[in-house]
Amino acid sequence: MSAAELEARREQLTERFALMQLELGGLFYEMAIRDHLELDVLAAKSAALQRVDLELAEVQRSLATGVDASV
Amino acid sequence: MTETEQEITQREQCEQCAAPLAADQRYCVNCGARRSEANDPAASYFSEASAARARVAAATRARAAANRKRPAQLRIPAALLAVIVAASAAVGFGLGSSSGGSTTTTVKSAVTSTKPAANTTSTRHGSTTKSTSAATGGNYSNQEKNDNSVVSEP
Repeated sequence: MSAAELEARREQLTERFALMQLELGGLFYEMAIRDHLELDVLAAKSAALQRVDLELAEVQRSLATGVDASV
Repeated sequence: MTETEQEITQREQCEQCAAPLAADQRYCVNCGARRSEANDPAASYFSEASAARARVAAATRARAAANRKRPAQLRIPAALLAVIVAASAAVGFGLGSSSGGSTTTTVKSAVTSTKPAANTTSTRHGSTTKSTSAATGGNYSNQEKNDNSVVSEP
């Protein structure tokens, strides 16, 4: 993957991460105010967010070192 | 149950798990699905910020593209200027080499033609000498000598 492609991927992942984190916070708030905490739902959402976070970190590392980690 | 009551009931159910939802509920607390039609200030704020950022990025890209085009536009006048300079240099060199010989010959001929004239005027006396020296813008001392000679002759 070229540097331009990596930067585009980073932009895409950052946007996705921000949206998912926003949704996780909103969902937790919704559950908290209705006194209906579903921890397994929150954990599943957190796991999805963590996958995006890890991929984003990998892309950022590749951009920093100049080495494509996916190859 | 009337049609409107059925519509409200259908609308206020989760699209994924069909759990009942309150009117102001943004997320389903049962499955965690987000309600698309719910009023979410955070989501609208971030979507507006994202749109503004996209506009700024597009403007930056357009500016960068315009800056990249500018040197390309300057290339043609620069090339033209180079051609004009080269052509004028070549023309100047050609003229210099062709007219250089004739210039020297004219200078030589002028020198050779003026020397005998100077000799003839110096040998003559009186008014002739005056007129030639005046015409050639001659020497002041020569004029004085000639004047003296004119006066002493009678």
